[in-house]
Amino acid sequence: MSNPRTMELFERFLENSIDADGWRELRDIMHADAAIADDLRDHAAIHALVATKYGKLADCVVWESVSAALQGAAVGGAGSGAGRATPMTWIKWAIPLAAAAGIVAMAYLSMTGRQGDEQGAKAAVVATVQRVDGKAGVLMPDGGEILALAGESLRKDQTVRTEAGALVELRLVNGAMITLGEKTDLALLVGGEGNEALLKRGRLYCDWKKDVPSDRTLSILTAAGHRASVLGTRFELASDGVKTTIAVAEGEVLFSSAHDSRKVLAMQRVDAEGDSISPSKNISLSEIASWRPGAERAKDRHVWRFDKGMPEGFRLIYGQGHFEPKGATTGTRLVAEDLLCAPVNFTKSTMPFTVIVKGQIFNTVKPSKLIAVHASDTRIPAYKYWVKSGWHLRPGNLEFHSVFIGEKILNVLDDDVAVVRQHDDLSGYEGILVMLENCIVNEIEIRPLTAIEIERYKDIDAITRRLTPGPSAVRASVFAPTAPN
Amino acid sequence: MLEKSFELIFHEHNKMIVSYLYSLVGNRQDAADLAQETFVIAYRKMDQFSPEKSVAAWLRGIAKNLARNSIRKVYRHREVLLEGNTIENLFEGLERQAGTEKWESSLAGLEKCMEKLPEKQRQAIDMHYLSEKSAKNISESMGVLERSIFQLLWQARNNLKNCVRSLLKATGKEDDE
Repeated sequence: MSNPRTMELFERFLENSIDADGWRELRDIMHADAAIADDLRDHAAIHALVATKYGKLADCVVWESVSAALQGAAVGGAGSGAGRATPMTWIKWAIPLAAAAGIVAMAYLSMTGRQGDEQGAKAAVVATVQRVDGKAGVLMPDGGEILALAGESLRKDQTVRTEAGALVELRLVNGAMITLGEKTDLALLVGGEGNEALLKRGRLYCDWKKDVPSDRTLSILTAAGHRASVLGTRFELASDGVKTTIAVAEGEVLFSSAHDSRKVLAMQRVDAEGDSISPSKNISLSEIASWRPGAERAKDRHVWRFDKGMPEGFRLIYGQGHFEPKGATTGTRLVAEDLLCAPVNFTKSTMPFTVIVKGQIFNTVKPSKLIAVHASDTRIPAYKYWVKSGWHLRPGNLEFHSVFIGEKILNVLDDDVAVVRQHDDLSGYEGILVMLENCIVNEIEIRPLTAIEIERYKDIDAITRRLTPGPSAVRASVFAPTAPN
Repeated sequence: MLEKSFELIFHEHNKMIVSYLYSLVGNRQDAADLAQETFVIAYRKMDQFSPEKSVAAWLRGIAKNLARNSIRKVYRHREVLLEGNTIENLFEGLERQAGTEKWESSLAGLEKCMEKLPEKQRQAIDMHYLSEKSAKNISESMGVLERSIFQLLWQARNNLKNCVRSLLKATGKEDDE
């Protein structure tokens, strides 16, 4: 288009300064040529883009005005009649009027469930009802009760109650999914920093993903005085006001009474009454919250099979589980929380190798090459360490390390020192392998023990007393100490 | 919690919606009013939104309906802008070019095009948008007829339009695919 008159009409049109005669003229031009009409639209869009980029257009609407509109009166239709009382202007008047009347408009507040009153909003929403099977209600702090319905927003200090045969699913604002079984009362987010619930009676199943930040962790108390603090898990919790039972499907939960606590791991259950917490008992997945719809019925263990003739290597297993290599060595329990090494050396294995790990989501197995872990020039055979002198295993910056001595696979899992002294007889081995808590060891320094170390490590009992064996430690103190070379 | 999530949507799409409405109604205050109303209606209708669809396109749909009502009442002569999908196509194309719905990113293409403008056109654009001068004021500043300024602005926008279209084509994200 090169007609100056058309260009002028265009510009006046875009800026709404075109008069009636000018508009009729432009309209006739556009009717005669559809391409010009398209051109006009393009220019309108470019005009807006440039105004956004370089003008004050972008600062027109701020969140505060929208937020006020959401909380204020309902907005009328676009534009208005004479006097151009725009919606923005209308809202500016509506809020003072509403305030004068002592009433705040409810139009958008109902979406957030906030109730308007002269004192201001009530407690914030802490959960939403996702599903209700059977009869369930929501008990208010003032004693009132309403039916629990899917989509209902729940607030702090409200209690969800299920009747016989009922089931309710809740999603908490912190991300946890909680399923309530029948005859259960759960008070929501009653304390702490808005992340505690109280199971007054009944049973629930909690699903909380492992990677939720720790500062958002959830605690569920029971009326019996016990507390389950979620560390990343799925678990069932049941209480009758006197006793509490917790069964963990995946992950781990810190379970405590007034004066005792226990970390309950995957596929474990503990019972508690008063201060007494029973030892952990291993259970199967099918024993956990079987009352829940869609409860896991799948196998409670994963099996990875490795072909025969696999080269030597480490198998990395993340998570928790019971590791049973077959055709290689005796089983070793895997207990670390995160990256864990289950060293498997089965060079020239003549049969398939099976790794069985209980638990589900957090467990992964990956094959890996053997990582050179010795710091000296002494070559250490892939799977046998014949030591001529003491070992001094130091923590370092690789991810894992394992030691294979003789026919035993030993997990070195701690950040302390492991010392192995070899027996003089090279056909065998003896030594102390001090296993510690959660060690990441990646370096072997092979050297003679110093006199101080000889002195330090000659008392096996003193060394092993430092250990606190438990589900998170692997003990391998199978050797008798001997004097080093 | 819902309002907090919606605030994020607002901040991500506010400028685009204002820009879109301005292209239709041509008045800044009206565009702002309608943008506010767009977000209020969107908030009301969030449960009707399908997550697999484009938020930006959904918001523009609401905005267009509001603009239509406004245009019919106040700016009847701008109804021609509501016809066809030329404006939507351009906005959509810019968003797709950026690869996201971030409006700031999509305007990056415009900036490159602005740098290529001839000096006089660039000058006219700067005075018109940055300094918010009318064509008449610009003509007095530059010592030319007002009509010349209209032509300069028109040519500048034409160049920008062609440049933006070329960028969209070059990235293979042409809006008429």
